[in-house]
Amino acid sequence: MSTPGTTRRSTERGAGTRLFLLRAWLPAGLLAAWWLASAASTSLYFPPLQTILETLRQDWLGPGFAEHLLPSIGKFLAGFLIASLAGIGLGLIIGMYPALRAAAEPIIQFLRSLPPPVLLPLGLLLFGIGPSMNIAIIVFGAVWPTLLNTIDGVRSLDPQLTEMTRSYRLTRAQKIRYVILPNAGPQIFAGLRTTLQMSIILIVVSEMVASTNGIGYYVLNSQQTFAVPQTWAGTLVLGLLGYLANLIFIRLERYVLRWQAGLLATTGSGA
Amino acid sequence: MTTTQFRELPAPTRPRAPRRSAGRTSFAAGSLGKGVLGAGTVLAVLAAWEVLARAGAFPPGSIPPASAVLAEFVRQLGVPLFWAAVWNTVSVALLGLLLIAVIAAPLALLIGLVRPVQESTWFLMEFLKPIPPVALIPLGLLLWGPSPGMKLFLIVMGAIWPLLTQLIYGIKEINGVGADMARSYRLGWWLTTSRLVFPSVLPFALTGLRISASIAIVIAVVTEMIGGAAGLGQNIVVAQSAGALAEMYALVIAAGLLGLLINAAFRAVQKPLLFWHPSVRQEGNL
Repeated sequence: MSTPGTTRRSTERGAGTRLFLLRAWLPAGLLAAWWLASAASTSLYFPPLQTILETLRQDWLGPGFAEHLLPSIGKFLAGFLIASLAGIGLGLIIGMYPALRAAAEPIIQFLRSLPPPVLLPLGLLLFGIGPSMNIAIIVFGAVWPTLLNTIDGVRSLDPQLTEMTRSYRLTRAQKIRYVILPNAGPQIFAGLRTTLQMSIILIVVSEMVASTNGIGYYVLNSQQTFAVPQTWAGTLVLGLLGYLANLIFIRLERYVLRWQAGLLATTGSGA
Repeated sequence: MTTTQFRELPAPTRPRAPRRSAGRTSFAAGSLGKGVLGAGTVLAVLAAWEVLARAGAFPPGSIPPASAVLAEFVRQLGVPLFWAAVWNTVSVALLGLLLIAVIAAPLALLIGLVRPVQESTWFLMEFLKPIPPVALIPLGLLLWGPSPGMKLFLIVMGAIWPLLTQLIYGIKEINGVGADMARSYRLGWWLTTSRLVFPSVLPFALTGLRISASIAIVIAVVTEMIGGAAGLGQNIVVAQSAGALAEMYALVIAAGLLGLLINAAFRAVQKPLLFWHPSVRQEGNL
């Protein structure tokens, strides 16, 4: 995933505006087509794009921002952070002890195979309706990719490196900080990315089922009350949120793993 | 010599590491001892669940004892309605996967091989990919109601991305030397495709298809839970609102086993298809 991104960036500099036009014409054209095709629409289900955008501005840039968007983002961030930390922490411990790994494996495999939304009724029973339930669902549903990838990354440590840490007498903390974590880094981030996407899915779904505010609640509620422009507007906001979260995450990943791109380039193993 | 060896040895595994994450099979490199340990933990967890539930450690009316849930699960296996629900979920997910494969393959070829197409669709792909598929559920419900067609649409929209991106990635990874050689040997279209393109893309396709499959199941279950289309997800919600807790947990377990089964199926297919691939060969040696 990262290699096409970097080559793309380097070509970008050369080709400049031509590339921008090449990339922009299709989305711009589709938007224009949608605008024009729906402009005179009287269909209940496909309101004019203009109406949708006006609804979006009214509902989301005004009081809706504080009422629905901020709580959603807060719960999402809390859930994602807890899931990430739990996944990396537990993954380190389980990955370092083979016996623990063997013991935990069937349970972990089962839990990660569970489609996370089936946890919703369970979360409702244990936590009732509210933010704690939403966060718990995210943590319990989205922790698995990070956990599994961390275990795998820790386990894949080169035996020579393990021996080297021993002959250098690194303490356990040093070994984790300077050897294990960097080695597992790329894989941990691959897991975190999946965790991120699942967190977004789960915050939306859990708000649809068990919340009295938040964007998931807004969208489902507007659908159930046949507020069609609101449904469209909410869907657009959700899409934008997913896109932005992913964008920020990729930036972060590039920053944290910036040493790795250099390593691949110097050792020539990127090919 | 030793230093170069040190550098070169881990090289082939390291850049593949993030990709292998999806293709895990080695976690249980299953010796008997590991199996015993694993089975022991499962039993211990079940026993702890049973004891805690009977002792009243969980909030009242939230989690019935393990024995009751397991008995209900066994009973469900004999109920035709249960199998009908499973079939409703699985059949739509499979149909969705088939559609996804049919749509993604030509698209990936076009995007992977034709540079202007790739650049033109870049923004659209990058924008559509991270959109949570569940975001479209209310819209789908609004437009189509709780029907299998709505489920199918949402599955295709939400689960196509892993396969599509993996396929594009695979097409780009086709060995340049191999492609040049195929051209200088004047291998025809068929030979090039079957001997060069297909084998290089296959590992990516399988990984993508497996991720797509698990997402497809998730979307199917969610649309059933929220949208009320028939299937396993709807049964879970119905059982919950009827207060039939044992049945609800039995169905949740069934959903988990379904996911495990799908993963196992892909693993079983992967081994014979990719016996030549380093990731599979390595596992055989370990």
